[in-house]
Amino acid sequence: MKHPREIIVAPIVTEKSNTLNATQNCYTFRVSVNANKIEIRKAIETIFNVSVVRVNTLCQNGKVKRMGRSSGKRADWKKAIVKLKAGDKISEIEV
Amino acid sequence: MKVEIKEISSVKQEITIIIEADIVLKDYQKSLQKFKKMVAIPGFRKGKAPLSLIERTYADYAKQEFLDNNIDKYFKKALEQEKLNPVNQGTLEDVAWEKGNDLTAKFTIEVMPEIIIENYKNLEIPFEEEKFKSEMVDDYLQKLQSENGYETESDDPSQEGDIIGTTLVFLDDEGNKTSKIIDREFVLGDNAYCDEFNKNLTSVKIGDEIRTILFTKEKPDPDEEISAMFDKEFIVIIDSINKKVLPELDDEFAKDMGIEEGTIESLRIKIEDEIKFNVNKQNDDQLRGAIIAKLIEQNPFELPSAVITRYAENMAKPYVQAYKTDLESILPIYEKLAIYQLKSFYIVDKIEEIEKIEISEEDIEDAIKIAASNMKMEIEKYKELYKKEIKNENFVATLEEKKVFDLIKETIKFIPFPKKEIENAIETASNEDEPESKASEE
Repeated sequence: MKHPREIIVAPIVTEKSNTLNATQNCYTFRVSVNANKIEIRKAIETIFNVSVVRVNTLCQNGKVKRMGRSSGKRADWKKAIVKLKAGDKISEIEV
Repeated sequence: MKVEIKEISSVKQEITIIIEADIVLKDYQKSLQKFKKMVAIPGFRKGKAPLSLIERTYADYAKQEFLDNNIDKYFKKALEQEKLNPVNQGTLEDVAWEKGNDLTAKFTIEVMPEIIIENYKNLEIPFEEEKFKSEMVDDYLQKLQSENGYETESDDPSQEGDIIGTTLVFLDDEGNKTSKIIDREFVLGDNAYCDEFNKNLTSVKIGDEIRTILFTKEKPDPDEEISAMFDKEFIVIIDSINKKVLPELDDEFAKDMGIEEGTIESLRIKIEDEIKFNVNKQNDDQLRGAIIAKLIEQNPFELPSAVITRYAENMAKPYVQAYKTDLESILPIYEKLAIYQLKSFYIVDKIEEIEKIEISEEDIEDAIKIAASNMKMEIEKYKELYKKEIKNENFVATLEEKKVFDLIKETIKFIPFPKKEIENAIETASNEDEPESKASEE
């Protein structure tokens, strides 16, 4: 079994995530590509000691970047939008 | 807002301003709102990032921005509240603030001191008036005579006062002539060369060649071309001797000098009047200077450095522009002058206030009369010519100043001029030395 810190890579703080947080009590994270919704829910509940209501995930394809003639590709990554139970908060990433 | 004032010196004060936490917080939020529009945070459009995130990311910058924008405002409010009138902008010495706490800021300001003038009557002034002497007229006439003289070529032997044109031939180490020559013209007996040279060139004729030194190490020649040639001989070839012919001091001379009556006596009277006027003016100026010096000495007070520097800079600026020099290098010289002028101004101003000196229309009329008579002009013509100057407030200020000095002059006690005291001291010292020197000889 993976360690919860391996599943949750970093919180995502953007204008959109901020709005989701304010309106729907949702938090956005960058998560491991291989992690599923169940693992993400458990990891969040373990790390932040909150109750997760729903987890939505999406995969972002890495951007193709050119450096002169050679081109490369950034790694694909996964984003998870986690809705918490009303009243629960993650103060560490609250803005 | 609490303001505490501590006096450091008569011209310096320390102001401590304490602003309540809630007022500071409001201003801080306002400042953050402005700051928000300037910063860009990844993930947010410019100006859309939440304040808390901006504060967390740019805590130090946000605080600095807030202080920069508001500290001057608090300072101005404090000055208004305490009715302070500093002469400089004030220097922020220290500021302490943490979010949620009171803000404390310390400033130092310079203020005009309270000028107390007590000693301006019965002053003992070291001053000796210069008196008109009839020799002054003779000297002036001689000067005029010399200025109006003309030169004529002469074959006679040279005499003191003659203008001699020469060729100087340089000599080598063995005393032989070299090809290097320079031309020089000078007045015999009144030049930069040594006495021996002048003596050797007396009673010489055109074409003579004289071997002589020009100058010595003790009295070098300012001419850079030959300044290194001290104590060295030259061959001096006399090319020309011009004698100065002075005009006779007669009625004709008086007419040439623009005297309508055309007599030498009238010229003498005119010169005498001019010299008397100048001597009186010089005495007045010197007495005025001596009074100011004494007033400054008797009524000491400090001046704010900001006022001195500002005044000195204004005085030095035309000089800096004209000679393209560095302001900082010449400022110390002007600062001394500025202190003197400012102190004299404040002292006179204060005496005017104490004595309640006012200038009436009569005083103005009298001043105009004197000025017109000095310029030998009709009063009405003077008034018309100097219309602007008379209406200018400086004219009244000058009269007020004059009244102050007249008032001080009435109570002055003159004491011997220090120059004589020094001379006396030297004389007594030398007299005291004599027996000792004799004793040592014995």
